Amino acid sequence: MMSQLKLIIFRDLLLATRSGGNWAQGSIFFILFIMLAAFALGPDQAERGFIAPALVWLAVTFASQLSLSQLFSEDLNDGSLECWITDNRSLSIYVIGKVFSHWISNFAPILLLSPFAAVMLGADISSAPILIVSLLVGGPAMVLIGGMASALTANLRGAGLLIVLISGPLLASPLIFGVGAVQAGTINSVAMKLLGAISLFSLVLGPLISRLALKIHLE
Amino acid sequence: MVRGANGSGKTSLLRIIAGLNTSYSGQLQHRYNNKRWLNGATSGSIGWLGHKSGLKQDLSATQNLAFWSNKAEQHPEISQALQKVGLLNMQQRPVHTMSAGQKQRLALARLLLSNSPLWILDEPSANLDSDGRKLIEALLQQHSQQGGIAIIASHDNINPTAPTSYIKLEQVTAA
Repeated sequence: MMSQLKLIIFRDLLLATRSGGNWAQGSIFFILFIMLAAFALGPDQAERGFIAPALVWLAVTFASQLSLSQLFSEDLNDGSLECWITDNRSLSIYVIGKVFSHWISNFAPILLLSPFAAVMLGADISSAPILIVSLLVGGPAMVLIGGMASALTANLRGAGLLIVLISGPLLASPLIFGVGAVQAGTINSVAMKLLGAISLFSLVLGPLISRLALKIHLE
Repeated sequence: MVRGANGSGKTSLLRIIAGLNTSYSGQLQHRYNNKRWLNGATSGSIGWLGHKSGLKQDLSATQNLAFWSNKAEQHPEISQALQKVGLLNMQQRPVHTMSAGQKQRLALARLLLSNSPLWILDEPSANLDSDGRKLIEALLQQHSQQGGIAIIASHDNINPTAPTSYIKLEQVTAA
């Protein structure tokens, strides 16, 4: 099981380095969103600082959903998924590996940029650690929910918008509790625990639904 | 060897046997390697070669084979498989720079590394020249000598030297 997980993660990371910068789409969107938000909010430091965590979380939520349309569709179209199944390998491990490698290549750069974005929007530097922790705890939920939407639409062309439409409503709860966790200012807040619970729930349900969707696409 | 006209259900039959298609009526029963499979519930790996190669265009030949065989790129078995299909001099070439026939040969190398006694091949000679068809016959003979079996759907004139049963699927049209 672990060797299968390592295989899929290393292969997808290798493919990400050869994807012509696809992995950076989310990061670029994130930077642009924050820059434009900073201009739109104007120079009032106190007002900006108050809503900075919410804006950073909103930007991360949207950015995390970009470039998800090819997460499973490429493997479905080039026959890799068929070969994975006929090789008697686990489809659940495959889904988890794909989502995890997407988290590393697409989400982790956004995570690293987030403290700078928060400071740029006027947030206090002391809030950076709790922001990072909240994104670490809530990140799996965002990527797993997006992955699920990607699996459901894997056989459709140009499914980017459909992915956002499916995952958008489901991302509301991690967004609410993520912002709440940063505003609470402590790791032990109720919002942070609920955020963790949503990620764990997504970890159980996400791969299960993705797996079923991919099996249906193969029929 | 499964034969039949276009649309007679050759690919569907192979996908059902491989466990890729589970929405069918009727029952599939077969005994293989002392393990009983029912309704496509497979209990072992299958050497599958369908219409799609399962190869990543941006990776090299060895990187693709290393992934599917779970072996290091330098592993001698990978070089041996590439040698058997005539691609030893293209080890480091990205798949997208290969011709359709070379990609099919690489897919055959993936099959060799699967070490599965059961091969299911859907039009394995697609895109291959006459040398390529001879290569398939040689690989099938070697596979048979090692105790393996193969279920093949093909329009081409592949003539395996191993004992072969032929099945012809007839197209059923609604009255």
